[in-house]
Amino acid sequence: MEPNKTTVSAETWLDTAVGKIRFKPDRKQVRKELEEHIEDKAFDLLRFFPDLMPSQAWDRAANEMGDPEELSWELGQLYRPWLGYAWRASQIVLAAVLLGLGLYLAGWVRDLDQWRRYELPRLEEGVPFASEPVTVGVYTLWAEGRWLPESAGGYAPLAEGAGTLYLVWHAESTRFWERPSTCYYWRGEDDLGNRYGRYDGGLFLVTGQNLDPEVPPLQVVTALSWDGVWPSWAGEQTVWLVPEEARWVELTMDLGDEPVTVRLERKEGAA
Amino acid sequence: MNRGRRIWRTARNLLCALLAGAALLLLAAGGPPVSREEAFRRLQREQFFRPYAQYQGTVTVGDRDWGVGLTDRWLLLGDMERCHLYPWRRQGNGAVAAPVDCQDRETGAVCFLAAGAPEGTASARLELSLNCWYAVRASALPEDPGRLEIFAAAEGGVWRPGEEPAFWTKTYTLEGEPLEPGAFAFWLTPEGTDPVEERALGAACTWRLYWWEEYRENPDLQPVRCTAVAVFYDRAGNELDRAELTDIQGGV
Repeated sequence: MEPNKTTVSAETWLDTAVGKIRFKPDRKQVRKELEEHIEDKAFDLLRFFPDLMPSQAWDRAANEMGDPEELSWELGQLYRPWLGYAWRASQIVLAAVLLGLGLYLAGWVRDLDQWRRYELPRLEEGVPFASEPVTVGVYTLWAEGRWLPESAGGYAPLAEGAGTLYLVWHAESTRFWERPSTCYYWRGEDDLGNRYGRYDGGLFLVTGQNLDPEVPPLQVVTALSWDGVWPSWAGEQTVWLVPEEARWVELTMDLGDEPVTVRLERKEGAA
Repeated sequence: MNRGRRIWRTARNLLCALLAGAALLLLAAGGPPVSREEAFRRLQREQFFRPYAQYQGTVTVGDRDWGVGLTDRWLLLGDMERCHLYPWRRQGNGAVAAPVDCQDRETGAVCFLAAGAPEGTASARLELSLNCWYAVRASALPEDPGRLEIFAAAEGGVWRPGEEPAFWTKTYTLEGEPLEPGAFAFWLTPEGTDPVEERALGAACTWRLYWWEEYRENPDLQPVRCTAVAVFYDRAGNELDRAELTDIQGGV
């Protein structure tokens, strides 16, 4: 230790030595390293001078390390704060984005579970119908459902031997961001020669007609509205006044120049 | 921690944040950002519409974007905000005109479209004629000027004693605003300089023009009759083609 220097306590020496390191984690780390050096030195001093008090050994060891002001300036040059701040900022940004993503995915998992369990009410009842999967553009579609001897939504009075076909549609696509949207432009027919026209809620309420003048007004295919989350998109649709004897019903979405037709077959052995 | 290691960790964190952020945006925004034409194609895919309609442009009515497409059968209008396709039946292979099923709530303007313009078209004009029977129904309050009632037809209207039904007719000539890459948009706004009664009638008729149900229902029941003819011109001002919008031949 130089004789002209003022002796300071080890704690003060350490605080001064790291004082110009502005990024706190760096400051703590360097302080810890210096502390370990001082500790080693203090143990050596205690071995050679057993009469020294431990605190005196620490103070002396620290002061023998040199001028803390000079060391502080050098460390301040070496440990620039911007890199530390950038690192910390990158950690915060990453944590925030991951949190957002995690919340979004948690919502998706919850919805997915709900939609995987989606099924028609009273699925055990009625006569089952189902279609084979068909590929339409980027989607694979199929439908399943039940025929029930009841009127749909109170609009269509129940005719003898007729009922409502309740359908659930499923869609799959690798384009997870393109959920199908509501399709209104449907028509249908069955193996008994019955035809079903497009249902339009507003017009139906005004005129009591479907949109095909050649079809009985209440024999309609409703719009297919989609819901759910990828990969379990599901949609609901009903076909009104389907005869009990129908073996199949073909539904056609007749909007583009290439209409899409899906045939729903009555399942063999069903009542 | 040494300098190199910290730089590497910072870069790694930022790269991970960028990737995770892009994934989050992709999920939350419902897909990658695309052009208006691609957005219109996507709407067609989502409605199982095949093959794609020939893109005619996009028009903004109020705060809603409408993609415009043309097929052999339809003039196709795609409401991009509500994810719905509105097909308007096309007669033959010629030009077709239709209203957009929407109104700009701020200005009260409605928009008509004409698509399938012949090659060489430089401009387009829409002649729009409106007419209706109406009466001013008196109010019990002396300070209230009464309100306009528009009736389906003079003969079919339910007139009150003392009411004088009147016939109103007006023709608007609207200049087409070209949409990239093919259609024309025509804007009708009730005119501010008209007398009050005239303006009220214009506004009352205008709001019915965009509502597609009006065109589908029985024309005898329609209170407002409208005919619209879009005419296409070349650079020299010669007529190339015309498309007529009639009361009942429209949307499906």
